[in-house]
Formats: sequence, C-alpha cells, structure tokens
Amino acid sequence: MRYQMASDKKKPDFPGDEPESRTGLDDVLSSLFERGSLQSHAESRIPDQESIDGAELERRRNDVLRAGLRVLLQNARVPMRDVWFGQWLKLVRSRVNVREDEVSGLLGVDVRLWCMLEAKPLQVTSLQPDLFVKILDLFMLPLPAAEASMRKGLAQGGTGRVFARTTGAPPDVDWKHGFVGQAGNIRLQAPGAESALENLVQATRQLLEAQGRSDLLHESAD
Amino acid sequence: MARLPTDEDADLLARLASTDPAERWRASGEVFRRFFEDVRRMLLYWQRHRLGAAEANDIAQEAFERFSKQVVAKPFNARKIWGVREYLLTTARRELVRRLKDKDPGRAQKQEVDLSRSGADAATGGEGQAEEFESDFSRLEETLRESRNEWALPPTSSTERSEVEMPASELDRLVIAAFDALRLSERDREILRLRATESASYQEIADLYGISAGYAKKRNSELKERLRTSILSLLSRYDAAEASIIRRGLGISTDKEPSA
Repeated sequence: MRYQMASDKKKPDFPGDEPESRTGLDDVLSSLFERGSLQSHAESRIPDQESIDGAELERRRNDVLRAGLRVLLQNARVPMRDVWFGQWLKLVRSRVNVREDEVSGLLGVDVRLWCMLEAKPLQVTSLQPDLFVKILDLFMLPLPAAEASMRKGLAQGGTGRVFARTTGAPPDVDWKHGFVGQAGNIRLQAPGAESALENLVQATRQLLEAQGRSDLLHESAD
Repeated sequence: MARLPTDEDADLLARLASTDPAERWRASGEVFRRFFEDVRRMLLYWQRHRLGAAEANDIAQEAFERFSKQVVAKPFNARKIWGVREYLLTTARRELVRRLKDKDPGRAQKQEVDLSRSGADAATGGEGQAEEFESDFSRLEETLRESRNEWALPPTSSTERSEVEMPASELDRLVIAAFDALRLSERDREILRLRATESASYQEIADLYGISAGYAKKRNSELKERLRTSILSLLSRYDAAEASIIRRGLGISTDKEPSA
C-alpha cells in the first residue's frame, strides 16, 4: 500500500479535487511513476552551472541539522536556577542524548573546546562573542538568562582565586577559534573574569542587535 | 530517481520511526544526504525558467529543515522509502508555490476568482490561461512530433532495450510504450505524475504551473484519454484474448478501441 500524507487527506480546496474513482490504469501509472519507469530526463537537462558544490551542500546540511537540533534542545529545557552556564549546556545536551562532538560540529568548534566549556565556569567568560551567539541561538537561550547563570558560576567559584590554571587547551587546538585570551592557559582571577564577562555580554548584545535577534536579547516570559 | 526500497532504506525508515528523538534527528541528516539533490533538481525541473539555482537550493533546504523539525517532534510514519521522498517533494512544492504567489500576487488573485466559480465554470474559466499554456508548449510538442520516428512496442528481449530497465510485466511494458508514444511535454508529464501518485491536488498543480485548477483537471483528463487511446492502438498487436485481458486489467472499455 502506498504511503499518503495526512495533509493530503484534507478537505479539497477546489470543487474538482474530490477523490476520483481509480482504474487499473491509474494503479499501473502510479506504480510506474513511483518506480521511476516513466521519469523524464529532467536531471540530464539541468545545466551544469546549476549544480551545487560540496561545501555549500555541507553548509546547508548543517543548517538543516541545526534547525532540528534546536527543536530537540528546546523540548529538553531545564531550569537554570541551580547551575551555571556550562553545566546547563551539558545538562540539556545530555538529556536529549546528543554527543559533544555533534553539538561542537554544528557550532564549528573543536570538540575539546566544547568539553572545556562544559567543565569550568571561568572558561565560559572567555568565549568569543560570535561563538556565544551561535550557542544562544542553538539552545534558544536569551542573553540575560545566560548572563545571570554565568555570574552564578563565578560566584560559586569564589573570589580572588585563580581558576582553571591547569585546564589549558591541548596544544593542537586552535584556542582563539572559540575563546579570547592566551592559548593554552587561563590565568584569570575572579575579578578579571567578571570584567571579561562584562565585555562578552556587551559584545554579544551588539551582535544580536545587528542580527535583529530581539528574541535572544530579552528574557522570555517563561 | 525513485527506486525500490533496499535494506538500507528500511534501516533509515526504522531510525526515522525510532522512539529516541535524537536518533530521528540523526536520521534526518541521512535523509538530507540521500534526497537533497533529488528535491533540488525536481524544483529546477518544475520551474526552470522562473527559478534560479540559488532559490531552488533555498526552497529545498526549507523543506528539509521542516522535515528535520517534524521528525524530532514525532516519529515519521512511512512504509516505503518513496514516502520520504514524496513527503519532501510535496513540502518543497508547496513552498515553491507560496513563493511564486508572493512574487506574483495578481496571478494568485486571478486563480482565486477562477475558483470562486463552480467546478464546470472553473474548467472553462481557465481557458485564457490554457491558451497561454498551449502556446508555450505546442511548439515543443510540434517539434517533437516532427522528429518523431515510427515507434513500436518495446522489444521483449532485454538485450534490445538494454538502456532501460525491463519492466516486470507485459502490462507495464505496454503502458510504458503507450506513454512514450505520447511524447508529452515536461509539464504534461508532471500533471499526470502528480495526479497518478496522488501527491498533489489540482489547486497545487494550478499554482505550480500558473494555470487554473479547472484547467489542470481538464488537462489531466485529456492526457489520460490520450493514453488510453494510445494503449488501445497498441492492442491491435495482441491477439483478441490477450487484448481483452489487458483491457480488463486497465479498466479500459472496448468502445474506445479504434477500428482496424
């Protein structure tokens, strides 16, 4: 039996669209079309210049996957009350059973950078603004909520201490692809981290305004 | 190109129907890999003269994005692999029609006026557009007729028809031969295909080709009649008993058979 979409079973919007009685010829035609036996030579007639190159194909595939993942993550939202930003990202990602490399791949960063992001509060404040915007967009998270969560992370980490001294990026990772600051080592102290966070929020707000993303600029009602 | 389902297709369908949303989402990536080019080319096929490659890519992407969102939301239910392809093609076609309407709201309004009439009136009301349609394609058909060689039933030997996959049954071969003999324009072929596979309403076909829904219906009816006539003319090459079986199988009445 052939598959038919539910949307095709709607009430006909044209008086002649009522279901028609089908004959054996209709069934044979349908079968032949579906098997490709009556296909035209359309594909061979499409000029070469209208073909699509591999890089664009990959970009479009990522866009499609991002659209689906956005819905997936949206459906798995959890409160941010008791967790800092990186913890929240990990919590939501784990909840929908999506791997670190799948998320990092769609964001265009090394998976090891993503893992660092989920590991330490201070590293979050060192994010490149454009990557931060991509994360907010993928997780559909408004900037004010993310900022509050990041501040919470800094507060939980204590003041005056040096964070993440030993969590430098692996030497073969392009650190600056995802983070500002010195490659391989983070020596920011808490006050410095707060300043970094201020800078990040300011730059991100400007980017979102430039992109017209008012949905991510303000706290959502829920 | 549509094809028969394989084990790989069955695996993909199982993943699209998985209870795990993440697995369905991953499968949507595989769907993109397999069908994007197909859908993109089909869009260009439908609207090559009004649609650039970039816009065709955008529309195809829109269809796949919707599909990805939908399979994440709930499992995809299809028993055949071409269910996925048809689903994507229908989504892409509807998006194409929406964009065409946005570009030319006047035409859409005119079609709405056509549809406000009764079915019979709508059929005759589309004649103006039908004439335009005919003028577009009659030259092509004329050229094809001029270059048309004497056709014959496809040979039963697979070696003589090596470039085309041999159909499973005599009935299929007969219909293919009769269909080929019509030398249909691309648009006529698509009207028949979209109706035969029940993947589009007359209104959708009308929107797609800038004709009225009434004319789309009338044209489909004419094309099927031409196909029946073509089949009947080929039946003269069968003996009476075989011809009778074929006629019954296809639901074609004997009074249409041309005199020898």
